[in-house]
Amino acid sequence: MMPSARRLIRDLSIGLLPALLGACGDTGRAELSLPVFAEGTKARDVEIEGARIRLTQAEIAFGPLYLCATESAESDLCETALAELLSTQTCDGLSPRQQPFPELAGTTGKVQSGFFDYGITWGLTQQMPSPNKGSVRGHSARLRGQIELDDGPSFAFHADIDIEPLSAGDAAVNGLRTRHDLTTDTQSLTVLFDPNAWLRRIKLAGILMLEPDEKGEVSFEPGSQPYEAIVQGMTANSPPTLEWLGH
Amino acid sequence: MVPPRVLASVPPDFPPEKLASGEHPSVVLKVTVFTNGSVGDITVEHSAGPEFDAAAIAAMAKWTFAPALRGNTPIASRVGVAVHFELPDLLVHDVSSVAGAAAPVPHSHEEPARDTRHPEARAQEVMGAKAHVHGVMRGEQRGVNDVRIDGALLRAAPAQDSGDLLKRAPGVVVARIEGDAVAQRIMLRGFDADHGQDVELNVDGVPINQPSHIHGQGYADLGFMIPETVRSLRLTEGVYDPRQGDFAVAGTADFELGVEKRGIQVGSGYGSFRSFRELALYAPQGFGADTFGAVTFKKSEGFGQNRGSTSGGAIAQIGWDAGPLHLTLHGSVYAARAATANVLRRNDIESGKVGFYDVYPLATTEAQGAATQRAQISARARYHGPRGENADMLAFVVLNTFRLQANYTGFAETSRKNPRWTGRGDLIEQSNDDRSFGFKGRYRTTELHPFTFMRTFLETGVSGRFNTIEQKQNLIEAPQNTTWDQRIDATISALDVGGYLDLDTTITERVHLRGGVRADLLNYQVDDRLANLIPAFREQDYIPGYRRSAAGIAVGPRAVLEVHVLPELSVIGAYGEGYRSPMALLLDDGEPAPFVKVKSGDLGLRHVFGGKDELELRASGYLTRLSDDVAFDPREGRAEPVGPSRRVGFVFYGVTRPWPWLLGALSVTYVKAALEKPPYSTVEDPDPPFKKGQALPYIPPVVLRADVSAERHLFEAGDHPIMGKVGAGYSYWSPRPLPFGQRAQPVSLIDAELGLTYRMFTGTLSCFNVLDVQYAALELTYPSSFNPDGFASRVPARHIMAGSPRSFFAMFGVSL
Repeated sequence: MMPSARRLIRDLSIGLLPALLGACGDTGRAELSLPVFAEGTKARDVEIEGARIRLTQAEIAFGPLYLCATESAESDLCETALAELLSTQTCDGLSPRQQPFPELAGTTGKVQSGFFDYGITWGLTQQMPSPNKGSVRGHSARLRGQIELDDGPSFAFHADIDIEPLSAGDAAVNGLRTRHDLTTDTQSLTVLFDPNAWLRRIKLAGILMLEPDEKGEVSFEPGSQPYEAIVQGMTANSPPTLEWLGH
Repeated sequence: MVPPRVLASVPPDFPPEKLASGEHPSVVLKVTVFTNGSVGDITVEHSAGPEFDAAAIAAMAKWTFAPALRGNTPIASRVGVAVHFELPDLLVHDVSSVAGAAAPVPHSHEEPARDTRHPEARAQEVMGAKAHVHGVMRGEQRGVNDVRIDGALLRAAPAQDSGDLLKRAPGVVVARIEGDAVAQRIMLRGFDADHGQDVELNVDGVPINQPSHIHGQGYADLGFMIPETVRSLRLTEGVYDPRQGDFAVAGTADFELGVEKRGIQVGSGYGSFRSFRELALYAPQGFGADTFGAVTFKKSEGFGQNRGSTSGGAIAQIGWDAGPLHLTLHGSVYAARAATANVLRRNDIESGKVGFYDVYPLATTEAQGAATQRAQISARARYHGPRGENADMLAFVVLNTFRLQANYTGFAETSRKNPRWTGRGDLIEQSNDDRSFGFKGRYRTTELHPFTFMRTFLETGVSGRFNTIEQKQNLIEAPQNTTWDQRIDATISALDVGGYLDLDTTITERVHLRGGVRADLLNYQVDDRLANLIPAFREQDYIPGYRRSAAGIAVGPRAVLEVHVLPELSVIGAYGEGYRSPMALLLDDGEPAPFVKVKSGDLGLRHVFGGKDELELRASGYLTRLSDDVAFDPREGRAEPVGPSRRVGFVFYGVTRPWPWLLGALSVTYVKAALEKPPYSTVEDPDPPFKKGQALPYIPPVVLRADVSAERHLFEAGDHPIMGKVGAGYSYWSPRPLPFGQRAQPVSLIDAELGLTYRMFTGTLSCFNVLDVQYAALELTYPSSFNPDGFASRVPARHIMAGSPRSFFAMFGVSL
């Protein structure tokens, strides 16, 4: 298009602008994006019957995350989300400092729930779940720590946790509770992890059933009681909580 | 209203080349009698061949009339006049005779008896006996913005199809966005009519809107009309005429078919994107404008990827007089198939993942397209009584088929039949087969005098329409075209029984009241074979399917009060209540009032300047309330209810014809369209936000349209003139509010045309979107996921459907 013609069109548009502004009203919601941070919890001794467990490493893959207006979110009830974090990011679950995540993008509205994956997603177009870019070396989380039995000996453990959605299009964790009126004044979202809490349901008997490797380290494998207890903690008993800053 | 009277008539010259033929035919002309008594816009209603037609027109141009009167106010009117030719007779060549004769050539016929009456009396007799005085058949001024757009204005700027002709009407935005096989999207004075849900569309009285169409309520594809056969368009904004029926929410558009230029026209055109069009049109001499046959074929590769189209249609129509009746038979067929690129996410365009005019490179999007077929047979009888009473009877059969494949959401769907089937692409396949039978009838009395000071006409009308509709909606996996989900499989029977009473009353010489009441009964039966669907994993303990019926009656008053403040200035106020029928598939059993009601009011001025209507201006404000508005739901591929809405607006419309060769029109419509209550709660959004005055999305607050054309004799080449024509149309849509506080870019488009006519040859070069503006003809905001390898987005995003870039089209024609 000729520059002069473009200018003419632009000028005409500007000339009509006052009239247009009066009619171009608010259509209900507003787009927004806001920073997201992850925050871990310092390692502490977790007492179980007959032992103490203390994490030394907790790498956690988080995302994608969807926030919904529904009371109880799951993918079927939230085809249109209020906001989403469309990536997977790994954070240090034992670091209480704020770790930046990619921005949350969405619209204003009352958030009541959410659902998310721990780095492994089963999209509608996938035949099976697969780890995302940003996962913890192909896993949802890698935990390392020390187990100290009440009667003296201690040994190390590690666990590569895989939390997979149950079906295509579903999320690993549904029904995450959070209530916030998401407005343009909302300043940030912080995802709070407490991986220490994931250890609470571990049974000593379950640990003792595992064979240590040549270094004397125990690996929590899928199907073992400690592994399933951690999965239970991550998905049901102590999922991350969302903390909003600003109104 | 007092019809015009002949003051001075000039007899036609008998064509010398026809002297030997022995013919003594009549030519019926339609003429506009202006307020100063002169005539113009002379067209041939019933031809007797080019020589007689030309002679009759030449004579008629010299006639003078006493103009029609409304009260004491002279008004322009359009009347029919029969001009009869007698073989030259020395005894009957009185120059004041209506039956003219010029050359005193001997002949062998018997001498007719000399008519010694006053020439005006003889002319009046001709008018009374032969003329079709359409201008006074019925008071047409139903609201300030009840405009009739004649052929000259319709063809002032180039048109790509018949739907484009609607752009000439004030406040209309029309665009064929989804390819040549899907109906135009229409907006009218703040109503997003989608494919026709809020605008009643009639062609020669036959309703075009299809009830309960799967792709949108009131779906109306105007593609079957061949643009060269569209004679006029009447747009009635608002719902103020008792004749207006289903879908007349924003207004009614009535197209009239006809060909005034008699003879054979053949045209062939070629243009951008390897487009071509062939046209053959035959309008036999000796018949009126409503007699013609036309056929056209079109093919184009389209302006971007996946946009090729092929279409063709034929219309045959014949009209003839049988005593006081004028009969018309119409037959038409039309078919089109077109690929479509459909929607693109704006962020994908901005990031360079896909080009503005491209399609997503996926099997599920490259398979998008549509096909349509239409056939119509109709018959119409119009009666013109000797004392002004008249009647109209129309019967029609219309068959429509429609099939669409479109993917609006990418890969977001899961099969409801088997939830383990996922991610195969959301290619919606819609099909809709509609068989429609119906009739319309009306009768208007002669002038009645209920009181000495009052004159009135009473009109009663009835209509009936029966539709049987087979519709399906599936999900298709491309490219193998396997069906992976069924969403709709239904048979619908829809019956509409309508009736109205209309009074056209002159209360005093300056005050006229028109209006009445209309009632419609809608009755539906639905066989919804997929209702109560049982997913594959659940044990079957009942048989899916749900049959239901519903009925309701809509009654609405309509009234227009016109006060002639000055002879040239009218103040017009109007109030009306109308309705839109429901989507039958959404009805529950026994639902009592399945209507969307509209209440509309207009108040404005109409001013005519000049003795020949050199300038006509209309300005009005309006308020419209709709009981339940709708918005497009891409997951379902159709509009869904959103709640009550209100529109407050202003319309300006002006048409000028300062000289016979120059024509201009300008319209500006401003509207504030807002939701009146919060949108309906859904499972997904139990508490949707709402602010008072919340704008309805997608509707441009300002729509501007300007048309101008100049056509005149340029120079002589040999002994023949070369006629030149230049025409242009300018459309402006202001920024459209989008959901989430965004606005679409404003759109400014110019179309222009240059034409030359020499003897029988015509060449036309049209340019559409002259400034090559890259624009989104449609913007929608909703979640989609077109990246099968990425995370599925669930947050609403902006999507566009691209409008056409600059294109040229050259057409060469021969008229015989």
